[in-house]
Amino acid sequence: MTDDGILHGGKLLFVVLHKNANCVGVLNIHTLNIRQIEWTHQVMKMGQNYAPVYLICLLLVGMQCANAEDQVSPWRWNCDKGKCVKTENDPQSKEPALSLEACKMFCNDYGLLWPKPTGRMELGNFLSKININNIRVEIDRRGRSDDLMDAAGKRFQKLVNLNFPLGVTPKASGKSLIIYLVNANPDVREFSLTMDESYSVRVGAVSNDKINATITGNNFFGVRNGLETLSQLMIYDDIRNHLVIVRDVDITDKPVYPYRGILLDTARNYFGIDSIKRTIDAMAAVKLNTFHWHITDSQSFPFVSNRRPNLTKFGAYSPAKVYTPEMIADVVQFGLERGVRVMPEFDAPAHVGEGWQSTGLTVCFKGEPWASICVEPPCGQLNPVKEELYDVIKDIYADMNDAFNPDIFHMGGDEVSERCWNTSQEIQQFMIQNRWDLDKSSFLKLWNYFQTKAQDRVYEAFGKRLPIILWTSTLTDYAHIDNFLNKDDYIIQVWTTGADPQIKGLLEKGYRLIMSNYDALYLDCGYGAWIGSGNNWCSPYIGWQKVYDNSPKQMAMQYSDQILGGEAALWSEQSDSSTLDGRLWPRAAAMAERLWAEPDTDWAKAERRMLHVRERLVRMGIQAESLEPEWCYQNEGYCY
Amino acid sequence: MVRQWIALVVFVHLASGNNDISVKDLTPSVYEPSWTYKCVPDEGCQRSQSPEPTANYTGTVYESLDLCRTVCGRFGGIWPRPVTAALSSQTVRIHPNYLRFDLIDAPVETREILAKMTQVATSNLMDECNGNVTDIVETPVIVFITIKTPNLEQTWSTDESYMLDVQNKEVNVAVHIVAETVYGARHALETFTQLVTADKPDYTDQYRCGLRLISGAKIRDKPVYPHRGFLLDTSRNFIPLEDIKRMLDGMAATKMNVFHWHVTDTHSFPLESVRVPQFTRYGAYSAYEIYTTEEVRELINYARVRGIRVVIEIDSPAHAGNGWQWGKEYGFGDLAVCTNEKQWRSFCIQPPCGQLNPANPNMYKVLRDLYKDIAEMLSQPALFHMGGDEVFVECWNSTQDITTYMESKGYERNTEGFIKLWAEFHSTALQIWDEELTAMGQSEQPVMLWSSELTQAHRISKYLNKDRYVIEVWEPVSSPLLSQLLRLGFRTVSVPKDIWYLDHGFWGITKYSNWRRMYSHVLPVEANMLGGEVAMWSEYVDSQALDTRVWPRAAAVAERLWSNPSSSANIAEPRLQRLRSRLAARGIPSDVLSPGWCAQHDSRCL
Repeated sequence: MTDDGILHGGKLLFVVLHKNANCVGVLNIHTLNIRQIEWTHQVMKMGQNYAPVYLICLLLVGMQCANAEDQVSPWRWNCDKGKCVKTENDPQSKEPALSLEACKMFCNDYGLLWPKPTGRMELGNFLSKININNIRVEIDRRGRSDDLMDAAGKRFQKLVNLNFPLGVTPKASGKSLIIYLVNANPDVREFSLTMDESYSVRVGAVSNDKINATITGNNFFGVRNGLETLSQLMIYDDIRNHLVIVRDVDITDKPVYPYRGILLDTARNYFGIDSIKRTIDAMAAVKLNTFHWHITDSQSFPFVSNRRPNLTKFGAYSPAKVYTPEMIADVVQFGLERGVRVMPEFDAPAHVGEGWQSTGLTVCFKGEPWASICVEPPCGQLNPVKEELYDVIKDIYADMNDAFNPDIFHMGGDEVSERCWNTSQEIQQFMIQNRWDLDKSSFLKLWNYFQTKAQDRVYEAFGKRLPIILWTSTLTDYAHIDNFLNKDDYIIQVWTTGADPQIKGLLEKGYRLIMSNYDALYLDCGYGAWIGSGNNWCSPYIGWQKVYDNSPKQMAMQYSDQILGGEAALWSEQSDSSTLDGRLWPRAAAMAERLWAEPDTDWAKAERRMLHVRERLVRMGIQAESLEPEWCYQNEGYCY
Repeated sequence: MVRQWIALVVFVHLASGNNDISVKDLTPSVYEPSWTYKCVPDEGCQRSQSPEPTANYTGTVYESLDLCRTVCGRFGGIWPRPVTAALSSQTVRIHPNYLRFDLIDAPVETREILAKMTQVATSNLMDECNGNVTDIVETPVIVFITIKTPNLEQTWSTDESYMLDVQNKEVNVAVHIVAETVYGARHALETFTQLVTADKPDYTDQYRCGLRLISGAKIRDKPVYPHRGFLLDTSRNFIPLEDIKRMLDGMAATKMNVFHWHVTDTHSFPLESVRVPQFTRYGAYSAYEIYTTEEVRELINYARVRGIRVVIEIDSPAHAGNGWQWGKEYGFGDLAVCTNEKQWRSFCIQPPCGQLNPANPNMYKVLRDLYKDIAEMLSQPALFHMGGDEVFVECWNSTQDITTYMESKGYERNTEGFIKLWAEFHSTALQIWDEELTAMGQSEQPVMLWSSELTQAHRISKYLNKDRYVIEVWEPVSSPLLSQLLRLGFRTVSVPKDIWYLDHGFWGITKYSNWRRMYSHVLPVEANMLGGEVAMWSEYVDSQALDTRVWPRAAAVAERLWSNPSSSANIAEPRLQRLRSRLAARGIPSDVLSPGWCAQHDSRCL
């Protein structure tokens, strides 16, 4: 009863891997003998090739199953030709066994790291037991980012603890671990598109009972990334019931793209603050750095504007479904501690409606039949000819500055409908007074009239000329964009397909782009339509493989310097707090590696680590979707 | 055990920072009043134009959407919709402390389980208020339950009909439930809870919540199909017991009555067998991913209290591998063949491969022990599913033991020869099952089997007895098999994969079915059409995303099978929105149907 579609190769995962069979198994580990010695699991490696490998280990092999003492696991794992092979464990045998994660750490390319480092990458051959009672983090305290460094240290502690299954107390024996955090610019705590996120991690034994780890970064953000990596080098060995660390590590790392984001739309449906924080927490684990908060739309206005409280009063789904400045400040701080900027979007002039009822500043609100006026109910658009409008939006911008204090701002700007504006006598009159026609190009002029005035208000409200992002639209068409938008002021976020000629056109004109091409990065696609029957507009569902392979570099070719990064989007017509985790994760993690490392290889090379990062997310309390049967995680190389 | 060591990781220089993940007191600035809702005939509940005070609201304006939905429309907030219902648009405040169940007219035999059913109903009422009903009213609510037969069996002929009347008599509220069986009474209790909604302000500084019950109701109800199932695969990925129980809660809320537990497959064998401990030792993903015998018994009881019958499926002779690979070591020979075969495409339809070895008599001995254990777990009369799908001939054909055996039996090595071998397996397995049931003093029971090559219309009657087998047909709707089998006199259960498979849309060329599509699929109505199932195969799901993958879509199938309505999905949507919020209150998260705006404006997003 499982579908025979698989048999016919319907499942992308199996098919592609099959075609790339010669890419599998890059590690040349031939055999793995295991002998009993002392204190260390030792995996020797010779030169670039992994020669016969010996694993030397000390402790008595005794798997401590919390409530299954008489049911010792019959399994251990051997690294064979770059794959971890599940093998029957003979309890009589003197050969100590490798746990699944210990095997994966050395057997797989890039161990268990996600995203994979882009610089030097040396993991050595040894795992050392660490005494969980003797782990210390040493922090230089010299600057404005001290509190953030402390927070990163605490988070590290939590991540290490997450390794242990619930109810398990690992043994408190083994070496001590001291982690030195070296921050070259301790006064830096501001996000920017040019900030340095690089870091290096070195781990080594300094004596028989002591391991040192040194993390160096040019600022807090780099050091924090290093801690994230270090936490992925520490695993729980469930055979010996012990925390272990990779002993001889030398990693240098930095991201390829400076903007690595997730968009969450909290207007179509409301999301609790807890679920937003959970998302940011998971983003930090895979080194994503921007939470793009699409906080208003025509369906609701949950952003609490202190200067214009009626917008929220009339616009929120309920008085409890709002985001106050205090709540937002809390999220912003939460993100800062995790290296994630929280960037607001106020989408305009379209995608407004609820909340504006009492202002008289919108047109075609709740217009019917909606399908002839806008893209989804309820319709609504700002009336650009009302001078008072610009005072109101400046107040909204100022409120957003107070709450978010962002380094980049998103002005929306998508899906403006001329038919909506055309329903207004007042707007038609205004256009005629300006001696514009009522044709398409005149509506672009009107739109630009709005955009120019709004742009000035943004600069006034934020007190600086911060970078502005706009969605691709008819206004940003490369044929005429330079008549309207200055390439030094605006960054364009592409949401059409990855094959859209607009991408090349915009790049040629020098515009900087963020890729959110819907065919790979809209994570709401593939579910049933919420209006009418059939499936939603951007079906089918996008598997993680496609997300992973979606390379901005390939789209941009020689202009890849102008790509700032990418962003996965969750539009929330069909999700809320209950579905959030599964929609985003683990697929957003696939994008995270693409944007951090822009690897030359495809998803098949990353699959085993991807299965592991999903398990990590689950341990963090993220309800990430399952990618494959657990059997495939335990039996590498079979599910191809 | 608590994770005592959490505090043990030592940090130097860590000043107290403000790093807690927990939410601080971020009370939003309060502003009242808020939205109200109006029940508009033929349109459903509509949000007010602007937030407004509700002090002077009339009979048709409501403070909360749930309240509006509970009274609005012919069937209020009841899911699945009953055969007939007359509901008052008035409500009366009630409190669970003043709710009493009178079981005097229920046969003694039924009272123990009935008492548990009433506890579930009460706890569901409490859930509407998050377990804390702060508005105290002392109006007594007395539920008189009349049950006509003492029979506790769950079968396809169990009478699940009920009558439910609510009368507000000023001094008290009288609720009368009349049902043929205790299971009918359970459904009535479920419907009763659906006449109740929380009455709480959208936002206040202090927590306040009361319950309101529709003050007059007359409901007559019974299901169209006796088999309304939900299939869960716990082998591709393990699903913890707590999650299964939550699925059963959802099924009970939608009056589904069969939990089809696809507990094993080639991937893993999490079902503990007392007689054959090797099954889990070799077959479970880990020592933590096992269902013990006690847990299974507990689950079966848990299901029964919710009107659900548990069908255990041990898929065979294909879809069996991990858990069976120890035969040689124990001197039993190969119990399964091609297990975990690397070149899987040649031997099965998805990795890992594995198929039982019908040439090995020891395999049947082990199978008998397993069947014994299962017969002891299931409640009587036992309903067992033998699987029987996707036998891959090439697997058997590549095993010398088996081809030699076929020669000795005179089976040719062509399709028909392998079909004979396959049929022989099923007939031996059924004989073993019969013998074990008889030994326990039970009568012979029909067993379930998936449709397959063996159940093709031109072949089935030669091999399978229509009185013994119920065929579960999973072919796409375009296939004629279902109607052919019905014509041949077989009892069938339908699970059209292109419509009622919940995993579709996430892999290959399959398409996601939205709830409307699932709702709109109609089955033939005849005696041998026992009903249908909605299936959650777990290649791409484990406990993490389970709830939202299943709900609310499974509820659409539940209404199809209970009510078989002739009206469209659009008509049902407001009630489904109400169900979604009810499931959430009971701790079952489900996918959203639409933007919140559409939920607040019924019928505006069609």
